[in-house]
Amino acid sequence: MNNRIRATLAAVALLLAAPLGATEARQILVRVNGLVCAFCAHGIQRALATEAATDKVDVNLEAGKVTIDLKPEGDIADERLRELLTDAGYTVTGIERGAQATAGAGSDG
Amino acid sequence: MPLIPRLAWATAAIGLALTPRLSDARPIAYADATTFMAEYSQSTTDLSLYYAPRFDRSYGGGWHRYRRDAHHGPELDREFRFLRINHLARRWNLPRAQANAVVWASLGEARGSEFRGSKGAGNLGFQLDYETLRIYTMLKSDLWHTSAYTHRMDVAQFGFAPYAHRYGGWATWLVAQAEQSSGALERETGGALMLRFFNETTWIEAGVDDDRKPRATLMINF
Repeated sequence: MNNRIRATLAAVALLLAAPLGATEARQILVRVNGLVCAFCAHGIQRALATEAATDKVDVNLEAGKVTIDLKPEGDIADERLRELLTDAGYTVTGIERGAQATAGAGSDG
Repeated sequence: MPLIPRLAWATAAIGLALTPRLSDARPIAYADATTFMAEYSQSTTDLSLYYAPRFDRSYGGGWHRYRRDAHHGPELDREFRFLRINHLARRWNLPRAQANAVVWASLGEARGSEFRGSKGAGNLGFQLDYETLRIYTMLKSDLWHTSAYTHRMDVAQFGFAPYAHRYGGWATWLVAQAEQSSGALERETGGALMLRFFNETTWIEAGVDDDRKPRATLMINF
């Protein structure tokens, strides 16, 4: 009986954890130099919104970070991100994905 | 040394001291943006519209008017209609700062109080600026030429933001400006204090000059 309860709880935990894990993996954090004004942020947001995989873009001016939430099944390659941001006039200094991106998006540095 | 060149050099020196590289653009907001600009002061009125197909280039045109009333010398009225190319010649993206060098060239026609009808006119200018979330420095020079005269207008600005703004909110800046007209104009120097507010699409600036006359700028990106 105990085994059955344990197995049920484990299955529920897996079911709950799977979407959370998927959410983490769907986020990209891009560190950008030259991000100093709302116009810059708007230009970047418009550039990234043209990608079919983009669900949401958040720009943190003070930290110089751009966070991209991806749509399910969608992705944007690092090379494409660098191209989009360079064409928007900015310099990419780092790209982080998944858990690393989620942790980075929450910090100021 | 006249006031404006001294201030211009001081602004440039501050910009250079803050970064080993250089300075930002206003007639080019971002790629695929259309920018409407309107500026009013005691002596000048400007209206312009530009489209930027890419982040470092915009095309458009406008109307520029320079007026001098009897208090500041012989009365004068000069008007220019022009087509312009703005080019971001160089951008320096720095950690938490940006610097830009922008140049522009215009062709058009001039009218005014000094001759009948219209004459062909040309304009060249540049802007250097350095900006962080809290400090803004800018140096701009605009040269207008017709076969009847050539005049130049120089502007130096220093801005300070009491807080670092967040995307989605309004930025607030306090801006001090020094300006000078020269060339075929009487050499005139002046200053102004302004409050600047902007968000991701709209820029509003209003203040008073040293004659206590109002001045304002509106810029909308869409």
